[in-house]
Amino acid sequence: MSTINVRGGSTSSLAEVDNNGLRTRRNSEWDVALDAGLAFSWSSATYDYTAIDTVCYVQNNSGKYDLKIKRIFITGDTESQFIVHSSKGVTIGEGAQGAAIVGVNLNRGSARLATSLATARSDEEGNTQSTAYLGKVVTGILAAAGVVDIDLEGALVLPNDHDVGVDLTTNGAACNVTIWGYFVPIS
Amino acid sequence: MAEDIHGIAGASGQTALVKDGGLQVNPRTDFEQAVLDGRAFAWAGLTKDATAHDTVLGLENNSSTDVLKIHKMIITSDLAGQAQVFTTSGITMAGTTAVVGVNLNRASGRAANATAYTDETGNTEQGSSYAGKVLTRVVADTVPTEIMFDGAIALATDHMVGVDLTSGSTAGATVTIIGWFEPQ
Repeated sequence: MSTINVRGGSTSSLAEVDNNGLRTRRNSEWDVALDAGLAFSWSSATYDYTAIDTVCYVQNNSGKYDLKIKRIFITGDTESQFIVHSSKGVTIGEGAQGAAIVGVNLNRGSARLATSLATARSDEEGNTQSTAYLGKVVTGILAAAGVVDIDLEGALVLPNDHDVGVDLTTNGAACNVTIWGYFVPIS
Repeated sequence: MAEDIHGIAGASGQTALVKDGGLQVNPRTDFEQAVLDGRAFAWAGLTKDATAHDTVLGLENNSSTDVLKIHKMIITSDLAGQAQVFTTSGITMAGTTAVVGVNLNRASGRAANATAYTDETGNTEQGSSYAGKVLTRVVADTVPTEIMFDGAIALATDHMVGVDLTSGSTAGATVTIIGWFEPQ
């Protein structure tokens, strides 16, 4: 009876067999992006928001990578409907409370910056999603002082010039939204 | 003596790596493949004030070639109560506001071959004591309840899935359904 050794193509590392099974290693897009320094967090600073503000907004500016949204965290001091929406071709604008959001690389060993890949704002006013929300992806209700954690699993795929934003429809005094996403080369 | 295989190559010529003693594999779920293909959609209803037993969101598969599989639901209400997730078929969909499915792959121009309404009134599940219920659970007030189905609800053509809140809401309730079309 013959046996074979399975080795990695470029490294020639030998794959292990244990517990009577060939050991495999799941290589998710998220893991690959994290290792490559292509996973980022865009987290808005706390601000006093008004109804229908787009509290946090991220636009993919890369023609080489799709931006995949992994997770969104929403908090606020006031009960409100939240709307996660997506659109394209937006000229980004800032409201009175708006500020640029610098993406933080989740692989702290990576010096790669998100600035050449994406643009993010708090209190973004360039998008026209409000009221009809034709691009709504997730809706729900946020409790006062509550936290919403939406696991999108990378299922929202943003090509170049497409965006994701989070609106709160009821006026409040303090809110935060964090968006985690990762870039995947366009195949 | 074991024979060495140096690399397992794919059609593109890329070879699989071995790391930490494990052969790297890229398993892809049906949902992940559907997202890449532009077959995955989100149907998200805007907040409506639901009365008891309202179907906050109903979604019907209109495709005669693809099964609509439900990936997850996100349910919220400002009033604690019970959510009834049910399925039925052969109804005439009706409701307050049509909900257009948003393709999760924003590069895809594919539209969802489905009908969705908030406050769906075509189904008669309440009257039949939810004969088609697939899940019943409590929903806390203002806390989004995320239910992962992983495709466990498969809707053939003309079949629908709906979510009733048996206590309704005091001011607002919403349901989001994420699903994908699987060719048969």
